[in-house]
Amino acid sequence: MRSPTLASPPKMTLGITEGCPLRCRHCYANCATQQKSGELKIEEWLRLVDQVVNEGVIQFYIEGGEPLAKPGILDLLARCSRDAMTLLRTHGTLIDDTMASALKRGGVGRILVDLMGADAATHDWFTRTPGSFDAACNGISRCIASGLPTDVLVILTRQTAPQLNSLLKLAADLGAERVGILRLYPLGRAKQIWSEIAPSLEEQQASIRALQPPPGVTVMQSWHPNNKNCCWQAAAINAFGRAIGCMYLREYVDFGGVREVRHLDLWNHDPLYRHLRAGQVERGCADCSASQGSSGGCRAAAYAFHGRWTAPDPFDETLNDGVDLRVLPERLLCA
Amino acid sequence: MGVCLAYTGQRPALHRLNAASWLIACLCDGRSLVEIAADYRAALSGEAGSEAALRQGIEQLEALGVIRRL
Repeated sequence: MRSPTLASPPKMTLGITEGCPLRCRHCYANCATQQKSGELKIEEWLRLVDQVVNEGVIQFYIEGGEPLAKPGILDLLARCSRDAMTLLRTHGTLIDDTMASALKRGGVGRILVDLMGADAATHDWFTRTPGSFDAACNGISRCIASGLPTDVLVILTRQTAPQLNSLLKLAADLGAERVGILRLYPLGRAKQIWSEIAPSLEEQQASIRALQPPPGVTVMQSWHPNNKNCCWQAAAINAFGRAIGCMYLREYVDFGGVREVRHLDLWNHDPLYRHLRAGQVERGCADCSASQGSSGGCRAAAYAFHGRWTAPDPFDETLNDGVDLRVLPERLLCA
Repeated sequence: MGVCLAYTGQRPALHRLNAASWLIACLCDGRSLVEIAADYRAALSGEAGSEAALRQGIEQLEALGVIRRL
């Protein structure tokens, strides 16, 4: 199965900063406490948004780092929301009533808050920031009280795996509509503690199969048979203005800088970007292809564990080929 | 791919429109209901192009906030 072909990206992720007040042990972006030198300024993001909206982008997914720590973020969110569905991924700790009202007024369409566990001990162990669990839960409550549709996100780790049903209940109690359960990717600081936090594929699948969402909460997850290869529509810009297709590809690709080149030109002409979007894979899973309309699963995961862009995704039980997801390839640890 | 994405900023949401709804949304550019109906019938044959289908399509798009009456 070849992936659908698009003339321009309809959706774009903006990873607007690698600064964050938390100090997460598994941070994919190796965040610093302040924004880093060389990051695009809000004025540059605003110009980029003007450009890509004109080229057809109709949804922005804004993340970091902690986007709400970026000076000028509310101006950017309001600009994005004017012409496009705008989703904001945050750790929630900076959201009080004033911030939630500002996000609502600015037209943000959905908030996604990361929880690193169903209790303070687990969450705060990951963030290395005492009080961050309570602050994140309060942020979720403030968003919901302000009328903002709000989801909870959790990365499936050895620590969170036994807590998933408790986390679903917590999300329901807080009023969240959906819970997204995300894979753990070998990026940033997560690589350094991989053996401590990475569950085996069998443990991951058992956790997913044991989910019992309470009424009113929808679970989003991408394990078999929901494993998709979403590169065909992927567009993402990192904090420094580099086009990287998807935030999970952040350590593996660099399609060029949007300070120098129009994003659509990178989309149209970068050979690797075109190759990834074409959906060429060595093998796919029939069930996932049928449910997702794409084949081969996640390219970032496939490349991380195999070093080939066309390789099978080892997070899919039908494509795993004996890969132990608890053990990282040596080359990743050197990167 | 045969679908159109429509964003409604007043009630922030992204909607996937099928070809018939997409056509209605395009026709709702300020022209009258009579003109919309004529152009809709001319573009679509059979049941899909019926007055009932058009009426239902307009109601659904209005409910979503994709179009509004002037």
